[in-house]
Amino acid sequence: MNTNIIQGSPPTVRPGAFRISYRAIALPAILVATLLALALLEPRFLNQLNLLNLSRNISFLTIVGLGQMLVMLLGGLDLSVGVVVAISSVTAASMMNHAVIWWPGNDAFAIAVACLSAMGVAAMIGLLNGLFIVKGRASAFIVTLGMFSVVGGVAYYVTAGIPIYGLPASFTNTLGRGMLFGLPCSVHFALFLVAAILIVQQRTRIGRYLYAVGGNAHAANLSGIPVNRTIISAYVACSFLAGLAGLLITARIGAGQANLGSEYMLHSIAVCVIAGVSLRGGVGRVERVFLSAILLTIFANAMNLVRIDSKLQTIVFGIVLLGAAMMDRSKQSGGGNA
Amino acid sequence: MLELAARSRNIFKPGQGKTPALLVLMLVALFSVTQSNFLSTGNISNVAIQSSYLIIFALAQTYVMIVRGFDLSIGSTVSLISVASSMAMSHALGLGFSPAMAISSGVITGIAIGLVVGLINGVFVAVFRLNPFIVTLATMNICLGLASSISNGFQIFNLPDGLNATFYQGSILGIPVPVVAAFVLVGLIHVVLTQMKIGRSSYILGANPQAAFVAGIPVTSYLLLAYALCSALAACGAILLTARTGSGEPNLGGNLMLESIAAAVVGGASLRGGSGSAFTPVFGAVFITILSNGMNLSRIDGYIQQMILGAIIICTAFGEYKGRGS
Repeated sequence: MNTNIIQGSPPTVRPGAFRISYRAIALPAILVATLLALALLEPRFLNQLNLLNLSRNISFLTIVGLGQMLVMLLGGLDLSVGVVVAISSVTAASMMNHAVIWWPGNDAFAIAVACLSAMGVAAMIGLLNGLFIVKGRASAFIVTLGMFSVVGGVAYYVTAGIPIYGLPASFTNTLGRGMLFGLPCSVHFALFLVAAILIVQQRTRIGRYLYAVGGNAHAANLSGIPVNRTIISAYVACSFLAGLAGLLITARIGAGQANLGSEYMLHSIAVCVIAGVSLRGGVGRVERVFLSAILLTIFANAMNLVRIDSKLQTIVFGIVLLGAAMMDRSKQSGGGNA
Repeated sequence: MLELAARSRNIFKPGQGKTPALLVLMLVALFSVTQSNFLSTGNISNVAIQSSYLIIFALAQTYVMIVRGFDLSIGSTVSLISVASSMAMSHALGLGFSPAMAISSGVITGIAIGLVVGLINGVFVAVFRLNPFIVTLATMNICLGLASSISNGFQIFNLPDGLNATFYQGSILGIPVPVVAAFVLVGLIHVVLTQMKIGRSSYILGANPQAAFVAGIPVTSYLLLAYALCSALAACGAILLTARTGSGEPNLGGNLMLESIAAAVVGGASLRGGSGSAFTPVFGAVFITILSNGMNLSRIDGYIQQMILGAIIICTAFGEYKGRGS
């Protein structure tokens, strides 16, 4: 997976001018076409409730997808994002229910403590992933696969698989159902993060480090870029974002669940592949990840609206993933098969 | 030269060479001291039968890992084959065929599906040069969706009586059929890997694809065949597992992706390709089966077992990229 990080393989070809224009047109075009078709053919699509729901789902996927993009830019991969969503949900819910008793009458403080501990747990998992990968010189695939098993086991063990209900209303009503300027809270989080990561990538040194390390870790190292620190930070950021998504989803459904977010491992990777983020690292753009999160969510919504069975949706999802990878094939510069 | 390359790597990578065998011995020692019934005849034969399934799946996984790939779709392929071959068998019985005919129709269906899935994986990986991660992630979903939609999520009963009796309870020279099957398949892959051109060149193909191409090895067709072989092996395991449960299960392969990769890497296969042999998955699979058997005897919670498995997977990854680059 991150062979090119460690081995310092030849730099991945940067998207040339013609590739940028191709992809810059393709994604929005497909998106607009899908939107038009849905608006014309399916009256329930433009229903306000459906649109609100859609916007929430888009923001959850965008937040997790952005995290996945950060590690994929470095030629890595995080298979543990789904279980981080779950552990964040479980931690937040159980902490909240305890903290409300510890500090009676001070819900806001209790909620803040619970949210902070959930984010802390998420960031710690990212730190462990990053440390194992960098210091243990291990492959991201194996480390995060192992972490997937460990963290999933913890989430189920502490809850015994039973959802944690009884969250304070001030939590679910604000973060979950709250609206600001006519948009759900989670949408603001997602938009803020897209803008923030866009600025970080284009205007700051850290952003350039990401592409430099992903493009050619060896050269980056020689140029004095703190390669290891960049990699570890990316994994922390990825888990942190997955943890945030876990909090927002928990607020939305009003319960902490160990089986929450199991689809995000697959979907976040799919979003990045559709957005053209290269598994070899060094190539990928924030705005396209956002666009493909919108596209994938709308696609899933459309299949629900026309009542395509959820089992068949899994098949369609696999075909879309293969199709996206095939479209991206021209970008790969031949040679290796892993 | 190929053997030399493979062997020299064994020294550097922990968990290769003699280490897995040592780990297995340590586990046996631990559990035979702490659990009095661990070394009972019943439990030993139980462990032998249990591990033979995992040996087959880990063998499949190891083969693609030698050519620097992996197969995430192995678990859902097993589910799909279990469901489809069971449907074929019960349908054949309904048409009035004899049980033996029904069983052979099920076996043929299963192997055929395995080959098709493997060829699809192989075509996308070898011919179109897509990343095996993406390809097998996609086929994993497709097989999962197919398995649950053709069965509607229900188990499939009415299998021929002989299935369970032959493939699970049957024995050859006193050895249970699943164990014999695992032995035969390991032997077969050993011959392929050590005696045949396709197997011997797999190592160089995994260790350095470019060099393999330059050396005139037919990279594309060998890669393609590796994926087909992987899924065909998984099909054999799937039929044996279906015979054990006595019904077609749409979620039979639920944990197999994780377990087969764990067994393969514990045994000594590497994502970097080019390492592992037909015997390494045996150690890995036996290790994981003994571990889970011993933990079950010690009444350790299933979720804690899942955490321990994950921790072991992480440990095997350490030092994988030692002595290279940066």
